Amino acid sequence: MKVPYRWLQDYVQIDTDIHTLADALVMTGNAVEGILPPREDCINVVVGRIVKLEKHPDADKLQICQIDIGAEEPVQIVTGADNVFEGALVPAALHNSILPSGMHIKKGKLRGVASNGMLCSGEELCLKEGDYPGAEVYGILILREEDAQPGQDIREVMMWDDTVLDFEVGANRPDCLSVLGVAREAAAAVGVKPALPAPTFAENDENVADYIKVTVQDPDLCPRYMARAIKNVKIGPSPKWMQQRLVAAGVRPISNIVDITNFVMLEMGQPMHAFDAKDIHGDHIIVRRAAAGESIITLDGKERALSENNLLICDEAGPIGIAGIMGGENSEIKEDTATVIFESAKFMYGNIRKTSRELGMATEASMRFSKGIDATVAEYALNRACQLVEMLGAGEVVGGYVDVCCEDLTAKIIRVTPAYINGRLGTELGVEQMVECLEKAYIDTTVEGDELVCVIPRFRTDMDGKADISEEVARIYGYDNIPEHQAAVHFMLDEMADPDAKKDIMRDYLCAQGYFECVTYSFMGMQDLDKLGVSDTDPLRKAVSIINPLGDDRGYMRTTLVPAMLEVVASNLNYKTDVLRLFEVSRTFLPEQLPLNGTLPEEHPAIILAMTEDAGDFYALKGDVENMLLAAYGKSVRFAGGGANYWHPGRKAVLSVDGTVIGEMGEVHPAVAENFGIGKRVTVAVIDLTCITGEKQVHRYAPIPRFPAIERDIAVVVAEDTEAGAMLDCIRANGGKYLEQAALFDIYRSAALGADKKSMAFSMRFRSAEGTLSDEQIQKGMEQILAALKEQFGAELRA
Amino acid sequence: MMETMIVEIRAALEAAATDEALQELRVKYLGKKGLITGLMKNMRDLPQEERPAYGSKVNALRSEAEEAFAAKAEQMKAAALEQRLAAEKLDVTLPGKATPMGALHPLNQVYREVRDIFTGMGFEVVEGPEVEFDKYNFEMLNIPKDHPARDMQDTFYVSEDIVVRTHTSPVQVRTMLKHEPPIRVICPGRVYRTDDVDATHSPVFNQVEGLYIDKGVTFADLKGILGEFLRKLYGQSTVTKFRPGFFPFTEPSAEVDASCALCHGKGCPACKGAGMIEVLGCGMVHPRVIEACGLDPEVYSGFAFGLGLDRLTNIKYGITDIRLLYENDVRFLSQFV
Repeated sequence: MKVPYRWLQDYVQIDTDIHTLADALVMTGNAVEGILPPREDCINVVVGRIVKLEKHPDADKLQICQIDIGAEEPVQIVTGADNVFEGALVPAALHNSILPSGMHIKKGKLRGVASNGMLCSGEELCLKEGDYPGAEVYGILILREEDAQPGQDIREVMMWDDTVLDFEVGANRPDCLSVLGVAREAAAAVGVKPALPAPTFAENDENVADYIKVTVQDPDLCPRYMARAIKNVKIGPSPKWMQQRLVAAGVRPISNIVDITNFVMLEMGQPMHAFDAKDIHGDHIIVRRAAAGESIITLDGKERALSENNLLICDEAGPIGIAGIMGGENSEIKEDTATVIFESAKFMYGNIRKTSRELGMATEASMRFSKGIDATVAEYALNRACQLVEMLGAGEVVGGYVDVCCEDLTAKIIRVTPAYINGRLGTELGVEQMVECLEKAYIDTTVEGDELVCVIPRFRTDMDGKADISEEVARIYGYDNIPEHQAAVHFMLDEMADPDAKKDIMRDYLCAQGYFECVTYSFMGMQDLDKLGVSDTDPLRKAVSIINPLGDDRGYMRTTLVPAMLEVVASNLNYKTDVLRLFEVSRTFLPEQLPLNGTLPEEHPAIILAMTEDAGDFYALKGDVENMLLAAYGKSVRFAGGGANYWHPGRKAVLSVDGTVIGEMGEVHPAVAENFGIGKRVTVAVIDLTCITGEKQVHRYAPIPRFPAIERDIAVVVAEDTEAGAMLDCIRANGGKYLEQAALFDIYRSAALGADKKSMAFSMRFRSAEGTLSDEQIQKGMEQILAALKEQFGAELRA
Repeated sequence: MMETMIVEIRAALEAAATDEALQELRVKYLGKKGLITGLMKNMRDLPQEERPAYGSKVNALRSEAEEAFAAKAEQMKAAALEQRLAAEKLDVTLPGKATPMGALHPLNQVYREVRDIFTGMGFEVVEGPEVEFDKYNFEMLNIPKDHPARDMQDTFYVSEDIVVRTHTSPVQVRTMLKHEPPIRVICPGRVYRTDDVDATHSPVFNQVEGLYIDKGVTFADLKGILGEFLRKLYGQSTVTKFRPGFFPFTEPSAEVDASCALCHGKGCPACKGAGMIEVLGCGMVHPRVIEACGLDPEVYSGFAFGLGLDRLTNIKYGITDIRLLYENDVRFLSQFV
């Protein structure tokens, strides 16, 4: 909300400077977003009168002008425009001036003749035809005699000379979407009483009923509709003071009647509308929901298709306006309008909000109605408009008014004890202090017994409970004046698992191993899954879709972290960062059923790791996965060949813990990598953390072995496709009770062994807690191992 | 002869340069067939009465020789060690061999700071769903359907009654529904609004909200806890400013500014010259919210607060474009090791 400072001062006597006022407003809850100075983008541009015009001696297209700028001596400026003439009033940018277009003007010479500035076109002042007549003419802007005099700052002529306070108005204070509302707040902030308009005007002896009849068919959407008639209307421009206020607030002056409705809207916060009475068929206004298939051409010349959700202002022939949003073209004020019907109404905010969104029409009126306006303002504003009509001599107010109202207009009363207020704020304020604060906030307060009885002004639509009273006291008393109190700590007694603990262990481990943590958006598009090459029926496609996404590539809540990670890998490779170790901890969204039918999808915290070939291979990533899960969960992971089709078919594994599948890892399939624009080998692991259950076991001390271990190595020859993991399982299962540890330490291939053969070398450690082992004690275990390896894998002891 | 032998031994030891030479001398003098052993054998040829004196002289010579040998061995060992150490000098400025460190995402580094302060003050961490019921995200927080306050949070909808949460406040609702006061929790997580991506907007961002409900909690407690938090986060000299604000779920509500940690309130580019930076929103939980969550607002009161982690992170590191946080460019991420 932009509030011109001069306009604000019409209602409040402000003795401090504007910055002190702004601070005081901020501390009472009015967010001043900025103080906009008078157009700083237009400096040193003045009105000049061309007193003499000569041809440039050396250039056909240039003219030398002597300009009277109200100083003793005229200023010489050379111009290339040909629409200038002696006696014309023009904008003259003098030496060292700045124009709204961003140009800086300095004096110089044009073909040898001194030019002490520049004459400006409308375009150079960033003006449109609607801002000033002639602004879009090719050539210099010729100013109207009645607007300007030589030497005057052009900002005064264009009414750009007011400082403006810019407010961010909270959704709770629609009353502050008006200069008056802000004036009330400003007065409270600086501790004075505001002088608010009390509209009075003369009415003629006719009866409004002879001009207009109003029927509200849908009072649920229009609790109050008021109207008045103005006759003998003389359409013309509004006076300069009014135009100045409108322009400063960002509204373009149009004509006296339209300007009055806009002025009242800005002043009171009540959007009004003016109809040309002769266009209202049957002199009858009907407020009703649109019928299916109905449409209207609005003031902006566009045809709008309507639905039954939209509230219309109609006459007996059809729609003449969309309630609370925009009037119809068919009933607008024209130059020959003789009788005007003013509308001042309350429309329900929810409906206006919906209609405004549906039709994509956000207007000053819809913005105010959709925040909620009190019904009493309608009457205040209507009277103010009539007063202005009288002041401007724009017409004659017909006697009486129409008021179709179904809303209770009495003021709300809230009772509250001072103890409640102090208890909520942590203060020890006395009753008088509270009453003083509340009175400043325009809340009439009396004391009855131990209660404050607060009469809430109608415009405070936001207030409806005791807590609101405590807030009013707090903001007027000043948040700064409420002491800080250190509350005693009462821990929550419920046992809660720390959701961060295990994730943080994994994060810290990975960071120490050179990984960078990523954060990507939680959305995905089906095209991401296409790139992975998953089938049309793949479970990953069972995703929660967003009704109003930012684009179809972000149309779903993601079911996998893989595509986003591959995008990150691809973009980093593009930047020539080849050594990549990356991870992300985030959620996947897995609906049990679609449509959701009132259920929420499951959300599974997951972790994804990625490593490029320059950082390490499959086994490097595998090692990190193992250590990470061991550190966080105290669990060992089993890897078995297999997994999704977006992995390299020979380099993929399914991961499980305690017999439950927790995820997969693999080198990304070259075709998939290509889809993502990745030209290197990338290995990725994804783990669904909800699949790892059970608490990490508490460590128990085991005695340190007292007797020495005996080591034995064997090398066996097996077929190439034999898995080391299975062989180790076999060794562990058959090594006997003394086998403490078994590990693979070498793989050897040679022509002598034969194609499709490899030699696997294992080392075994045997130990007993009872004593030093003898060779005989170990021999049995070794024999069992060799026999089992031979039986299961055809393994022959290597010679 | 015995007199000259020790001099001879000393001279020979002096000349010996290698372990082998030393060993040869040891055999020559002290070995079983060595010269000193030989002297002892000569004793048999002496008259009985001269033997004790002769024996003790030879023994004295042997001890003296052994000492000399030991000293020489010690000296040679020390010299060898010195030589080895000199030869083993490293260029300590050569690079270490570990994998270079990675780093937590800056958002998470700041989150940890925030979390650790609040857990130190007795707050627990709770999480909740990101795809959330409308009633938890809005209605129970005093934001009914069609309410103007919904415009403050442009929402992704999944169905008529399910949204992608616009703040982590629904976690507060879920906590109140599930736990008896006292409640002291922080609720971190991702939140979503239909903002197009630009330098200051992201459709996905991160919040940490907090909730404290107990008997007799006041606005002064709110100021105390949050003031303490900000001083811990930005330093003891931090000045805070609580301004009236508006949130539908709190009453009274406040916006909180903290003096800029970079310029300490003097004004600098980071705070756009203001000296103060808006850091969080907070307020006393609206009685209607407490009631909707099944607690008696006449018995329990409390406050809630929320801060934008992205904003805090950008302020802390001087990041001017929020998009950097989600692009995951390693050239950016590696600045936070």
